[in-house]
Amino acid sequence: MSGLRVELNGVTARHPAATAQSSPALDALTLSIEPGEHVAVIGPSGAGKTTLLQLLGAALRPSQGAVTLDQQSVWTLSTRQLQRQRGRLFYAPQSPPLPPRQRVVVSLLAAKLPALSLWRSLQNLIYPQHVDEVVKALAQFDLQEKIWERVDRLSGGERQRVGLARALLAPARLWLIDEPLSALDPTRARQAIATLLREARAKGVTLLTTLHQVNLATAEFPRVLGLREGKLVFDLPGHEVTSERLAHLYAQFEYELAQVEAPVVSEELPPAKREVRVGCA
Amino acid sequence: MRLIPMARFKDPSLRDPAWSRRVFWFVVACVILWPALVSTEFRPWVFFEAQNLKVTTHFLAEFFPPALNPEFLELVAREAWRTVAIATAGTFLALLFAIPLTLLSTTVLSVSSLSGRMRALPFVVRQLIRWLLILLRSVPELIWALVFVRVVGLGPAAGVLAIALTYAGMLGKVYGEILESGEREPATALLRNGAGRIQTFFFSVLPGNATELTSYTIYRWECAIRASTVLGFVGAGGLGQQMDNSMRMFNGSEVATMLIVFILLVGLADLLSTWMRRALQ
Amino acid sequence: MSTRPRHWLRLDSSVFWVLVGTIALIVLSFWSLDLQLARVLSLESLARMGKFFGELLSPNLEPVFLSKLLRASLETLAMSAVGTLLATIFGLLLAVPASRSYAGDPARWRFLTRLVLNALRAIPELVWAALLLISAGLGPFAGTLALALHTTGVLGRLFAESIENAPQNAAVALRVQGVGEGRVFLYATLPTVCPQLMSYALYRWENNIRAAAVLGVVGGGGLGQMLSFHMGLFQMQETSSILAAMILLVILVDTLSYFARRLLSR
Repeated sequence: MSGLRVELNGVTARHPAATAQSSPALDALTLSIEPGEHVAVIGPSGAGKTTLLQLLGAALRPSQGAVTLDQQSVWTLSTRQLQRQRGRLFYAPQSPPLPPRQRVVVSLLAAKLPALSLWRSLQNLIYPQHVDEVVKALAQFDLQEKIWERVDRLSGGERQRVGLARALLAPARLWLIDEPLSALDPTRARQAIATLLREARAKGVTLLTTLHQVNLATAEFPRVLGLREGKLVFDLPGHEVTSERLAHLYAQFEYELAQVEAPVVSEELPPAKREVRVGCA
Repeated sequence: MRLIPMARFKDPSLRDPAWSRRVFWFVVACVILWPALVSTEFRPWVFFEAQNLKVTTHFLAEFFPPALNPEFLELVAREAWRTVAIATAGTFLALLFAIPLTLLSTTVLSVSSLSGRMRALPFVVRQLIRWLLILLRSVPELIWALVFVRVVGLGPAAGVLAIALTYAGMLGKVYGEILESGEREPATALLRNGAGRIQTFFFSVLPGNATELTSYTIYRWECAIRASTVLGFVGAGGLGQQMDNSMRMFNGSEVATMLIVFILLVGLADLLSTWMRRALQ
Repeated sequence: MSTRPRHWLRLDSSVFWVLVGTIALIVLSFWSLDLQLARVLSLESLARMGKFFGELLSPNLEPVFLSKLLRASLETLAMSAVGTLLATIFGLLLAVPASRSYAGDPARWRFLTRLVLNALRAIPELVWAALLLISAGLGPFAGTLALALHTTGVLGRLFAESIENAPQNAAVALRVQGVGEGRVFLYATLPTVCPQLMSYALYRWENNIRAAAVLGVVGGGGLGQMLSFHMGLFQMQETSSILAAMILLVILVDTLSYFARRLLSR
């Protein structure tokens, strides 16, 4: 099972609630991702990172341009074909998609639904099947003891890791992961990223993740996309992303907002230069 | 296909710990449900017994067309007005009873609690009034109506009094809750400066909570219209009494008309109530 | 210079007209009903009421009668429980088509289902009971079904609103994976709203025990039927026991419902 090939061609997208006059969340974006690639997307808040993931997850229609998965333009497919294509996707939103009173085991099995028949799905609600797979997936995130717990009894970090563990059960070939580390301490964050990359490599899936932890992004990912105000600022291998580029990416935005809140930038970067520049670097 | 693959999981940590508990409660529920069904003489097939079926189909067939002759419609219109009148008169009297009861039972106007704990006698008085309100509220208005029909005879007076007493309890309770959960400081300030309780009520408590109080009263009036129809079934006049008469005579077309008129009446009252509540904002 | 605030009691204020309308309605009601409140609340009448209530102060406590009372109380309790249970099941079944699962859901059955739920809701339990008695005969069955029908309308509407307002987070993640709406409901939406639905159902049980107690008056069995019987014969002592039983039953169900809801929210 190899990963999906992703292509965006001159894609412009707006938030569902935005008016036609407002600036688009993503502006004439063109990029392609090979099967099995691991890509990190970084950028300031409001850059359009989540919109990018929603677009690739066929949860949002572009107002212009084409989104292609495995050489098939997503929105020209019939409903049946689109549903089948969706079965190959996995989406982990920023806030873990776990009903509070559900048990961890059922939340994980829910990720497996595209591969289960109707009868098996119903069976799972009465008595969970595939428990061994669930235990293995949770063990990768050091959560195997919590398998029978209710989701609302877990801490924020544990819930986030459960959300990530769902990826390991999904029959997906493209993983779209939004801010997977926001509730994790640095050690857990490193472990989580290592696990995701290791599993993605083992399964051969294409991985696309947005991150605020820039140092992890540049250190661990072979490809990093920099997004700002809906435009692609750079598309480089992780080790080629210099601190100056990062400063441009984040500092500009900070100046325009005229807010003193510092962006989540690692300690290796120099202090941001306040440049009176309008437009992208 | 096995529902519970217990044999597969020789490892006890892979078995669902909640399963035995769930089975237990399910059995308990069934054990309680069975006598309950017997007690309520739950026999759905009764509807299909020959005689019942004949009566039902004949009755339902008469629903189309509903009785539309002018004399009957005039009667229905008159009774519909009487229902509204009973509801209005009942709610008004309930308001008259509830206001002093609320004033006596609310802690917002408590003078003795200005300097710490409320003194014993005012506390006892307030509790007694609260118990009175609970008592008034606990007895369903139908029971009151039954009693009043015996004492004052058939007709709308019984209905008006039944609604007045029950709704006095409900209004008193909710008014109390509204006052207790509203702002106390203005009232306390006035009381501290020596204002009388009635003065405080009119200058601070009432204006501060007027919208909520009125809104709930209007909602209660709407409920009263439904209630007064129901009370008609025990002889308290209005649309309900007419419906009871027609049902006893198995006159399907008359019942159909009155059901339609009742639904329209309730819908109209709902619209009126919503409009009034919005107009008062 | 500041302008004087306009007086609220003026001819173009909607508050004014609402007030005038309300007063007119109240006056008309009293006038058209010809209540003869003076006669009703006269000393003679009040004395009779006093005597009536006085006779209620000595309930009948004979064991034979008490056992009949217990049977009737259990019957009323069963009516309220079975009726509420049926309404929860059918209310949920109807709430699914009556709700829009997500923005843009065509929800083709929504209008029709909501119409049905509104019709069920609009007709009071007693009227349902009177109608069902024609088809099912006297007894608690008609009362149970009457409760079930009315409460289905109420709960169905409440459930549908809960479903529509539920947080979509878990459901969206499953939809991206292409999971069908039915399974999205079972794995994401229902687990999210279940505590709230159960809370509504339990709260409704408190209302239904009161309704079940009185449905018997029109022939729906239980305590109501006993009450109607004994009060018709002016047997005040028995009536008093029955009323006490009703109050105790209501308190019992209120307490059970409260603790069940506390248990659910843990």
